[in-house]
Amino acid sequence: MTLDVFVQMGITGITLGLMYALVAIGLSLIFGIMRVVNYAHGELFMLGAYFLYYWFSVWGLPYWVGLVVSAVVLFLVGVALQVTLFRPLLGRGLLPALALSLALIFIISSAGLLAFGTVMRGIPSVVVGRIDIFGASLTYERLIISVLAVLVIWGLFTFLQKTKIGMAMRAVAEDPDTASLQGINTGRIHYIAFGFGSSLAAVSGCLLGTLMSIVPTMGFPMTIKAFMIVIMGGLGSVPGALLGGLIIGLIDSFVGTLLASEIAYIMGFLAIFVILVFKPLGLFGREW
Amino acid sequence: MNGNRVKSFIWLILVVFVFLLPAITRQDEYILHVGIIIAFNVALATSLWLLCSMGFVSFAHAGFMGIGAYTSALLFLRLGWSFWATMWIGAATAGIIACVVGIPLMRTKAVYFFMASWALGEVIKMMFALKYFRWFTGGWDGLFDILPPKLSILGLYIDFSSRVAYYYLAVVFAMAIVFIIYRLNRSRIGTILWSIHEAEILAEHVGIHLLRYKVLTFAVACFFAGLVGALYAHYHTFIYPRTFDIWVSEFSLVHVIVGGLSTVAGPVAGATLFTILDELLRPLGFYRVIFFGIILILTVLFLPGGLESIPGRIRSLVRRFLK
Amino acid sequence: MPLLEIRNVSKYFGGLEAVGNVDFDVDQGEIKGLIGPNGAGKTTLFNVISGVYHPTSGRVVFKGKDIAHLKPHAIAKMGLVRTFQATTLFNSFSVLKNVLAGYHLHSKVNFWGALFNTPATVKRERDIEKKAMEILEFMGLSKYKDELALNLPHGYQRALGISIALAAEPELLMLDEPVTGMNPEETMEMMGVINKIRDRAITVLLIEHDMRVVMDLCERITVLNFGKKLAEGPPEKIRKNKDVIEAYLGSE
Repeated sequence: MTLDVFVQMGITGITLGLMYALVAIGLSLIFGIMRVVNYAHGELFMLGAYFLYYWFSVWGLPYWVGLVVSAVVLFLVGVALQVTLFRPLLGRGLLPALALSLALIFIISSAGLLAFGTVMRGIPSVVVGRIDIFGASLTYERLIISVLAVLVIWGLFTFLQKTKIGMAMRAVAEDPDTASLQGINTGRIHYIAFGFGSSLAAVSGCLLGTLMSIVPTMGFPMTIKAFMIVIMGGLGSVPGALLGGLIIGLIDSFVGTLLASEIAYIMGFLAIFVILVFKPLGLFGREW
Repeated sequence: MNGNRVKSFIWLILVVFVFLLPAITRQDEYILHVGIIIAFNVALATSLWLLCSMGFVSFAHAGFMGIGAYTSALLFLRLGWSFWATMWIGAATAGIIACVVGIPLMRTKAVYFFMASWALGEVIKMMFALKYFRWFTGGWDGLFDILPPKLSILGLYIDFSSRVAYYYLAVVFAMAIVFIIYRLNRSRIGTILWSIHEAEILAEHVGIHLLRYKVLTFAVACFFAGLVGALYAHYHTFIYPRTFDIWVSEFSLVHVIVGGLSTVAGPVAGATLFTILDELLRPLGFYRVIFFGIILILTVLFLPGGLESIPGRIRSLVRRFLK
Repeated sequence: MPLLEIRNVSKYFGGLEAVGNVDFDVDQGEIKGLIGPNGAGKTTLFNVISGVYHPTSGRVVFKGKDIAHLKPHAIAKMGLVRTFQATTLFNSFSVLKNVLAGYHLHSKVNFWGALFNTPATVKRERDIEKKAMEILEFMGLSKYKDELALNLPHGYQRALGISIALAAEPELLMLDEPVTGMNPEETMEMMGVINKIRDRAITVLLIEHDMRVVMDLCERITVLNFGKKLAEGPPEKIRKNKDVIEAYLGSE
């Protein structure tokens, strides 16, 4: 294997990993704070991508504005879902929420297929040009997108550490009872978290949709990846999700190119399975 | 007690109806086909329910159905063995693999179990699809010509490629599986499973060997799934990895949730209803999946006990009305 | 030989010492008390003894066998059974079914018997039901036998927890705060029951906060504070022990 091929796979892997990390962090946020498993998280990723597609490719509105609007719209969608559907189920255990998210997948992905058709689409590039690294090509687009992803993640991390709402969210994730005793409105934190989580998925969808093609059924595989990453990195851990995302992204890129995408898939699953067997709470996870 | 008599009576009528169906419908091929699929789905949902009664939601069910199907199909196609043997070997293989995999799997808790079982189901499916094994398992293209069996005993000769014959085969097996699971649930074993579900730590402290029961129950449920898989393979005569997609596990789960978790009537009702709905709504394409999603949401939000809780609700409504 | 020996048992969680080098015995036929201010490590010690945790160091010897690394179900099988604080019950079961579940160890679970409801199985279950009803009467719960566990009044929930433990036919019964949250009347009743349990040749080790109960019931008491043993002896000695008084006053 030559250096340029190696670097190319590395570049792809890192970009992919960052996209995965965004979605995984969103999932981890929701899970860590609400203790609810949203199996339909990937569908929001898909919706974000299609929103930008229509905004930019079909209606011709500015790309960067569209990115922000997509995040906002999906934030609101997330809040709506939490308030109308997930909130009433709080306290009823794992199965109802699971069933609910299953239902959402059915509905959203089928509606997507009906509305958007089965043809693969793509969000065209906004930036052209590329640079060469060790013989591998890194497009400016990919570079900007990666940087953007890193900025978003860093921004979120800072938000959680430094702002009042962010710290409130961490408090609720840590110990909901104590948090509410301290006067934190846990109900509000719940829907804010759901909104943010959904936003992150949407942003990832927009960015990834620019790099690769989009189909209405792409939500589910992304959910699977996000779960893999969240388990590896530990439910509720942002750095863990980032690390896990990069690992999976690199595995996908290297194993997928060198062997077969199916093997990469299997390897990812075997990794989860093995990790859960030895560390039943995930790598850095805690008792749930 | 009056309630029990009524229930037994209803089950009896149901059984009689099922047996008379071919006569009633004059052996309509399509209706018999739906009947066979209902039988398979009922068996799958009920075996999944057994696991749920212990508190474990498994997404690997379709995978084990696949193990049973592929084992039976491969033994038949490559070695020429008879269905009557391969069917049991297929089920046993599913059960044994479930035992082996179950030992580490059952150590995981709640949320993580369903993710691990999900991972497991996907890996199993991928194994069938791997191009490296294509010469053996047929890869993504699958296996063809998995013929239904023939049976000659006591001077009788039955060719199961006849749909009526397969209908009775499927129905008899489904009923047997439902009956076995019903009896298990009603017995002390059922009490053990529910106590693990309710308060695992208390169950452990009265002497219940948690891991043993969890693994065995998982193995039994997967054994039945494998059995259904084999029956399906020889009915449909064609299987490929997508037959055992995660969606199959998900639909079985929907059957259980919508049907209700308390008694065996739940998965039976849920699977029957949804299979029929699925057939009726088939021409609607994707709209039917949306419809299922809506029903599922409505059930979860407004009918938490599922379909099986409906008679109870009607009774209390009537009582309130009569006051 | 004492029925239960705790020898230099320590339990660390990460760097935190929950129980440090605790050493005491429980003799056959006695009612032994384990007391201490909140956070003294009593429940952790119970968890170590019953197998929920492995001790970081030390030995737990029951009937002459080291049980420190056994799992809870194996320990229960040997005759060491514990109760939990009130809400750990099989909530969706009836009171009777809760106790029936407790009989697991002494009911043979047979797959074929379950399947076909053989006469042997039916007889076995009927015998168990008789024994369960006996326990319910002993504990004063028989009129609630068909009530759902979660609907029981709080005081009776504790009694149910003890009933379930009794069904496992223990030689040593460990009670985790049997009277906490009860009114004086219920407390007196429970004390009577505990005495009757001892009269049935079941040794009792109990954790309790209510000092009067402990002083009246227990023949010997071990006092813990900050995970370490503070004092040991009969109630009169403990009552006058300066360290004990300080520990309790200090924690108020």
